[in-house]
Amino acid sequence: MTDKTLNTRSKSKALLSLHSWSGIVLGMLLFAVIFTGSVAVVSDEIGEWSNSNAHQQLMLSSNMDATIKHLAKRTPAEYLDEITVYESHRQQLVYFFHTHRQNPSGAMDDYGIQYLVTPDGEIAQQKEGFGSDIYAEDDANALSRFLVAIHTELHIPAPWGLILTGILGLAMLIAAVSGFMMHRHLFTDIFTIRKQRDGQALKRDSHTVAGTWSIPFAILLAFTGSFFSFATAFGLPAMAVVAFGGDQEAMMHTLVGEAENQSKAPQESVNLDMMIADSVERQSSVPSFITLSHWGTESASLLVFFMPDKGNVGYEQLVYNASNGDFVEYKPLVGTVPSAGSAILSLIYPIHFGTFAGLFSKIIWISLGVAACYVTVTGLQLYAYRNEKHESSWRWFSRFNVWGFFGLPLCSLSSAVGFFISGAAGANQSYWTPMAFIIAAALISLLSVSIRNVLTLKQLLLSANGVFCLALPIFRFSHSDVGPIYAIQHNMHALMFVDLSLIAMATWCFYCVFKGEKFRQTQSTQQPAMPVSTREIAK
Amino acid sequence: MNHLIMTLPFILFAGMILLILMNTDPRRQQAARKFAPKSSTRLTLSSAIRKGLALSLLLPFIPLALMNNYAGILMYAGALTVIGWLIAELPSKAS
Amino acid sequence: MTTATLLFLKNQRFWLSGPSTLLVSLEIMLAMAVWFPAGIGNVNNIMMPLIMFPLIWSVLFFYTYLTPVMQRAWWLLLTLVAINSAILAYQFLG
Repeated sequence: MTDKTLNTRSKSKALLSLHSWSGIVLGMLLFAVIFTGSVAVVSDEIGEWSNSNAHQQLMLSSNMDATIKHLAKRTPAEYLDEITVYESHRQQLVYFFHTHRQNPSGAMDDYGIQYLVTPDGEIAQQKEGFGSDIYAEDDANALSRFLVAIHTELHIPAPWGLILTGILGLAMLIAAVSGFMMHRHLFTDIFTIRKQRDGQALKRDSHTVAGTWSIPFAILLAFTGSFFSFATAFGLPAMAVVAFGGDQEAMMHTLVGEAENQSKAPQESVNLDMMIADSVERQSSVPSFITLSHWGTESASLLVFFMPDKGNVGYEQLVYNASNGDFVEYKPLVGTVPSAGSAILSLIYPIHFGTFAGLFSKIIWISLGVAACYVTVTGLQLYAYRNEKHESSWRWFSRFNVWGFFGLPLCSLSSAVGFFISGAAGANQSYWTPMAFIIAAALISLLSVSIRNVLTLKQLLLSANGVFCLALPIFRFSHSDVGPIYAIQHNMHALMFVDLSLIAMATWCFYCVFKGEKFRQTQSTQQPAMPVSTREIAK
Repeated sequence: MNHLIMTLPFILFAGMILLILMNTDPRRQQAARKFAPKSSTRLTLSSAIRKGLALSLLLPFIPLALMNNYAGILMYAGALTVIGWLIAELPSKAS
Repeated sequence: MTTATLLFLKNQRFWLSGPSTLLVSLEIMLAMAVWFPAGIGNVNNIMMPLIMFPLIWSVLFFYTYLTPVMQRAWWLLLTLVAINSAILAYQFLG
């Protein structure tokens, strides 16, 4: 044997151990992040669905100019620094008059008064505080916000949650790249999933085939995800120290692309609705939100934010001079003029979020997430399968897998149940949505250690998933009276999409339970012959 | 919506090419034969043709780029990944 | 936890590819903010190091993990630390 072949052999051995360890140690957390990431792709749709709502495009139909003038009179002058407006999931426009302050945790935050305004201009609610706190208490977003926060920081306090998800991103990068490097027949095996003697697919093949297909996107998603986590957790503050002598506000001004020390001399701003109408005409779509800076002063400006459209993948930000109503520019994502950093960032967003072409791209991105979940699941199952041949009847690792893979979706569904029930009971939805998740997690953990047979546990959790998937559309309907016919008549796409997906998932769960029962029957009839044959194939 | 509809034919094209590649995949046929050795009537294509077909999967990137349909490029790449995986998961005809 | 599970702490490769590589990549990212051209947008020196951090880390990680000569990898990391520390020292003290 030459040195070179020895070298390659030890290298592939090293890669295999790297691949397995990165997967085994962080695999379950990675599954949690990937699963909730796939859900987070449709967080906006889930927000609409959980409130049985469809966007009314209130920004186009309301007299926002009059509302802002009216609200500005009753708001302390310091909060007129910046005003953001968007449509909530409960058919209200949210006006947030704010300035910028450091919050108790030391980060720069918005501080001011948030008004919820009904379509006819009435103030439904008003709240003063830090933007992050007001957002965290917003019941309309309770469900989607909770699910997204599992994805971004696993509900671990900042910055540790972000650092952990950043590390998970790097682990996914390691797993994907090492998997790619060690698989010598990458392209010849791309369609081949061999069968075991009992007709089940060979786990190793399922893992490698799904892994091979999803490698490019796994690398892209892991890379962009760890960028988001690390940049928010410590990258940006660290950059402020090096490049701006620690002045975070100065760095934010540079990144947002706003000149400091602008003129604050009072001057009447032009009609807001006219500028918005102009931007809508230019983009032929509806803005997601708008930001007014220094309203009613000489330096007043308006930024109108649009989701990507017409084949573009980047967000569009139109800037208007609000003192004369002129369109100024299409503003880059960061800075004032186009730059490489801004261009790459505007690619990173769509690649990671998949929200660049409505439901169409979101469905593809969810499927990519499902494929990545499948790779994680089969990888961990493979490890359990290979290492638990002569184990105790408890099969701890398989049990752990069942607990995570079927428990997490069930907990997420439970949080939705908690959202609806607390909503119907008039309780605090922002409190009960996570609470329902925790209660479900505790129950599932209890079941996982008390049911002796792993297969029974799996079947039970799978059927519970199916039942909850079916129950959720019913809960939603009884909570809101928005049924399928009403939804079709009113073009409520997001709502129909989530309802139908839940029904499809329920069907899939029940099919798997049925298949599992069939497998269990064949297994019990062939009991004596099985262990030898499966062990042989596993080798 | 227009750019989405323009992307669909390319995705369908990719699906068809992938189906052909899957059905003529020698490794897959070899694996299937172990379970059903009798079924011998199989579609075979020379490896050069298969390579050409595989490369043709890259062709849609050209028109999509010419149409400035960058969303289409990303969606096509994503759909290619997902369809490829799902097709590989389909059971072999012999089994 | 058994002693066997903690054995990796005695493995030199773990310290090389794990904490050392992570710290060195972080330092490279910070120093990059100093020398990377800011461009006309004046943002590239902030955005590019942040974007490139996962890339720098993965290149260094796979090199230090796979190289048969660990000595060389240690020297590489040390050189990178020296260069980038000099850049940062120049920025803060110079």
